[in-house]
Amino acid sequence: MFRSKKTKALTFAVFLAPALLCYSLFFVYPLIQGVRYSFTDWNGIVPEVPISFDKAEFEERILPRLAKTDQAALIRVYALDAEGVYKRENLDPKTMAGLKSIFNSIGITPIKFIGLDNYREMFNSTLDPRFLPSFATKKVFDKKEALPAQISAPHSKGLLKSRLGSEERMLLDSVYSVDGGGRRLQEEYREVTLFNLLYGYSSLDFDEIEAELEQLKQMAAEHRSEQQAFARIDGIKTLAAQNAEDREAVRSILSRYYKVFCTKELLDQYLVENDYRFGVIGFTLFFTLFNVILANLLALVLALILDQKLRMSSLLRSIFFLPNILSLVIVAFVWSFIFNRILPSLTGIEVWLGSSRLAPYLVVFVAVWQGCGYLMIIYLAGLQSIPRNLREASSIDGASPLKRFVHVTLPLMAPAITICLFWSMANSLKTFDIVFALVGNSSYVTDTTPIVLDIYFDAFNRNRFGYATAKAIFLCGIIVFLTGIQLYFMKKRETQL
Amino acid sequence: MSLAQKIKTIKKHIHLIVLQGIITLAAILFFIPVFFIISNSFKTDAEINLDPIALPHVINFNNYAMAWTTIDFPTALLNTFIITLVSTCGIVLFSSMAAYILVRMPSKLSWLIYLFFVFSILVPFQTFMIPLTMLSKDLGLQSILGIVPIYWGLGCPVAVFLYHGFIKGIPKSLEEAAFVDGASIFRVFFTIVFPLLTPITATVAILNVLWIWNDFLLPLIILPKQATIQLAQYGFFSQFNREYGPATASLVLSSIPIVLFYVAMQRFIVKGITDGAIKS
Repeated sequence: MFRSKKTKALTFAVFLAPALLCYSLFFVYPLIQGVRYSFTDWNGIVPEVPISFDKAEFEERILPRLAKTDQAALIRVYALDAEGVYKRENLDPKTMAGLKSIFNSIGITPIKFIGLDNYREMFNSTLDPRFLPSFATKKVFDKKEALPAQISAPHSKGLLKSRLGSEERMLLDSVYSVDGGGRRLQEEYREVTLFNLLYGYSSLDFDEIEAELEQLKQMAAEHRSEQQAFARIDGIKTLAAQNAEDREAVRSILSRYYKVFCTKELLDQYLVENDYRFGVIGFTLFFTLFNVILANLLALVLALILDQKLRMSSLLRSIFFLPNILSLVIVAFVWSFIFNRILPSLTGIEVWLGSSRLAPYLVVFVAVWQGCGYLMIIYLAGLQSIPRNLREASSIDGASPLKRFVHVTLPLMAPAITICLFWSMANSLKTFDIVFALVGNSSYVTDTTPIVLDIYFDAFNRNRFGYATAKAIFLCGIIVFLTGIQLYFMKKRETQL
Repeated sequence: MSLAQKIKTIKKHIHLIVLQGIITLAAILFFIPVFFIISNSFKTDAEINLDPIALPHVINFNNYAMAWTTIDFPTALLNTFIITLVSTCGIVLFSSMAAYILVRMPSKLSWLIYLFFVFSILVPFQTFMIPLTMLSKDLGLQSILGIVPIYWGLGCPVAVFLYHGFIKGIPKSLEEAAFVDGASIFRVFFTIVFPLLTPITATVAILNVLWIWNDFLLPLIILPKQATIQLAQYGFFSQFNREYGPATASLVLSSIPIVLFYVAMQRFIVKGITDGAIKS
């Protein structure tokens, strides 16, 4: 059919050229560039070939270090303007590449190769605190405040779980009485009470007492023993001048003060809340897990029901599929209206998307609403490909509907389920539009930033192209890994059948 | 009919009625958000602020008129239409040609090229999104027709993959007869092979139309503001996020074209989606 080998090769090339050319130019080339940028500190703004040079710098530091031909090439491109600055025009890519290698040869590289630093930074929670999940603990009480009148049940439980010594526990028990699940400050340890009691003794030298209280506070901070504190109290001069009864009473007040100081130290150290944050990775995983499970379950149930002989089934199917043909931006805005206007006036709860407790679930909810129609269509096709007679045979055999589902329908649906699970997994990992339009810039506050949105912010808001691309390549690795697993399972099943 | 059989059919009927009830209720719940948007789009802002749940007292189209002019809806619609149409046609044409030649001239090279196309299905767009932005700036592609070749490049791999699978199943005999009659390979492809590809072409076209029409991220980083419906929608909603009347009207307005497309092509869309999902 071909006159010669040459025409055959030519035909081959002509048929392939348009697709291959566009694909290489707009996919493969940027991809290679991306991999390269991920090892650099490029900020996306500085051009790879400098736009301008200082006159002195250009003439004294750059030109002398170059060969004659390279000098000529530079002078052709850079022209001295009225302000004494060498500037270049816009260049075609070929000249650009030539200049780049000239500058590289004398060590002028606006883009620095920093090896794996970008990849290391991602997983370093001090450098990028938003990326990884964090389990930081947050102080609830500061020792500069007065002791809280009550300790709530969860805080009290947290205190007991923390590593309190037996003395510290005794101290806590004596200052705070157990009250239900929580604890209540004993009346005699309230600072107001102590203050009133102490200042009732008008014969005391209060300047000295106050100085001593400061000392006691200091001793509590140093974790001195009670004996040492009592010894110090006994040494107070103004105390020695009192009659025996008053002396004893003031001493007991001061020792209670000391206990209060110690308790403050204790609460300052141990009364903490776990401040758990998803981070970008955490939210991406959370979103993927819940979206995959919920969307697939809902889609499977809908498909099973719609597979029956029902009225209006094609209209019903269209309604479930409708969100899927709308763009994610429209879907997100529909729901942001519902969350901002409809739900507050229906339920009286004002804050929905702004609440970091609710927002992650709402984002998943919207994604399920949008995505389950698509999965339902695939499940329906899977159900309809099961031969009728197979199911009818099993129903004549007297199998209950549940048994029929588990033993006949489900195994035959396995290919559709695998497809749907992995499809929704890859898509959930890549989710962007919905969160971008639904939560946008506040996504870090409510802890609902999927990895692609983080990449987008890194690249375009923080101008860290290199770092953002490194994250994208990390994501790519994960997706390739998951697809590998999928292929493995599908191959395994094929050999089983 | 015996009594036992009668009971059985009655049971079955009750079963179906219950299922019908459940699924209808679910569909209503599913549709409620959309219903609220439509109902509020006919109200004034004052009415919405007073009670967003109540039905509108009077149907007024002021919100639509405002959204229409502010978004410059006809331009956005035309732009999106041109991008979608030209991109989809190109993807269909180029990838069917490429897949055809890769199947019909088997060699190590064609297998390698096929793999070269297919590996990209794994790579998420974000990996090369940033260099692609730079490239499009360098090549001056930041326009309505400029974005089209980018869609060709990004859309081809999946399309080549789908066509490749389909063409493998077409018998060669018809083409061979034509070659014997002295037809050129171009004639054979366009008059004999391409018509045979109609089922998979429908799938490829529908998947691409839905993708390109609804795409947001690529236009966002490449095109000027407001250029496509999705971008205009995004800009409008962000700008008028306290004026819910025009905002909801704009949502309805920008959904109408794709919903009409769905209603008209429903059968093909469902088939296209299932074929696309199962084959890839």
